[in-house]
Amino acid sequence: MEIKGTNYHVTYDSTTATVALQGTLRLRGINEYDPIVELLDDVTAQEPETITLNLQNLQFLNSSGINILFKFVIQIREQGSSKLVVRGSTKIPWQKKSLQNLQRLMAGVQLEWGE
Amino acid sequence: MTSKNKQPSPEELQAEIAVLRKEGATLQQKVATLQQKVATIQQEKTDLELLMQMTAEHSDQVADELYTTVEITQRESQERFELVINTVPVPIIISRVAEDVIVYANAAADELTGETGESLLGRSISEFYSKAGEREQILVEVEAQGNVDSWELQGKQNGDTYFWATVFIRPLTFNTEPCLLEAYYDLTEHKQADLERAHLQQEIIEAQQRAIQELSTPVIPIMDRIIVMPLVGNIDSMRARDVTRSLLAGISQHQAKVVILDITGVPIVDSGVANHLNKTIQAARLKGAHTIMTGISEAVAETIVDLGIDWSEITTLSDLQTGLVFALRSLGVKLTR
Repeated sequence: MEIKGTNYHVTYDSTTATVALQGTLRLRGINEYDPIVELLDDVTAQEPETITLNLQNLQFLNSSGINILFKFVIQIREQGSSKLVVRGSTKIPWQKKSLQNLQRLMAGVQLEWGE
Repeated sequence: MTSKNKQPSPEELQAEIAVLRKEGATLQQKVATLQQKVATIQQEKTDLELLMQMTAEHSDQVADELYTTVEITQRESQERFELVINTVPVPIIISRVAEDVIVYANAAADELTGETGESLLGRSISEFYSKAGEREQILVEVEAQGNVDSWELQGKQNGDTYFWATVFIRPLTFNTEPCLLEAYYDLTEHKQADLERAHLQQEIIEAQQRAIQELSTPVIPIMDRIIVMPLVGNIDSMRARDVTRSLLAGISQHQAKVVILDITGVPIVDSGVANHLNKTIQAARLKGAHTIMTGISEAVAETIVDLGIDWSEITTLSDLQTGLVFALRSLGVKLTR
């Protein structure tokens, strides 16, 4: 599964249960994020053992975008059967604080940092 | 006795207790369900509060990053702009369209206008145009064309001298204001060189005219008190006046008593020229010199006869040699072989 926009690219690799968000995500409002939300809902529904969220090439994410990621984490927490690994980049300043915040929503979120 | 006062039987009491117990269990179940719902709502409320807080934090973080990036980009852009503007040896002035106020000028512009430091800033650019209304004309042209190339103007330098420049004008937004960027190509040296060249050319033309005049009316002192003026080519009224002027000057200069006017090289003599030559001879006579006309060609002689010109009072001889002999004799010089 994949979704392509002008400056962004969202993919889901079912073999590794990895969702990768890349580029610049600055869609206007929650509604424009609907296709991505649907993709994330599908991933949660499949209940893989571990879901990996790779954000290492996501340069920019607006507040509507972080909102859907927060909800995705809550959904996995409520689903209760999948673990969540989130990969971030130390080179992208906004990720440090916002990704750490994911652990406030779901204590078991495992954060992995790369460049 | 009515049934109201009748005591319930133990069986009835047990049945009532069973019903009450069942109701109690149902209520407990409802309480448990409600407690679970409350817990869920509580969790959702907590999640929602966290979500709002963390979204706000994310927004602040991203806004800070963007603001910092914009600041850095603006600073870099400004530094790059200033580096380029101050490196090129081209005077550049930026002025606000609305108020005609200079908001930026590079070092080369200071040099061009003779100003120093930042003294150009805040002043009207029209101050530096020599021609009144130049600014308005430029604005009209920019309005019509957008970009204006090769606008030639004269500007003031140090307030009292002038420079010439061709100006390249571009509209731009500078510090959020509509402005004009003017890049000057200093033409002052070219203009001065052009003026010097034109002056030199005029001098050359005048010198050539003098040389031609001298060559066309040559006065040759061949012996003491004898001068010869050989004339070559057509003689018009203007040249005839020059002949008179040169001949009289030659008489004075050489204290000549005899003038030989040789017209061997003159192909045509019309009545106007003949009259001029007559006047020349009369003027020479007044200066105390006798004029001998030599070298009258057949064609000229025919013309003079045809036109009825009277040269009977003038000494005319066939050629210069004969004229020279006559001149010497008239001065009492004896020639011996």
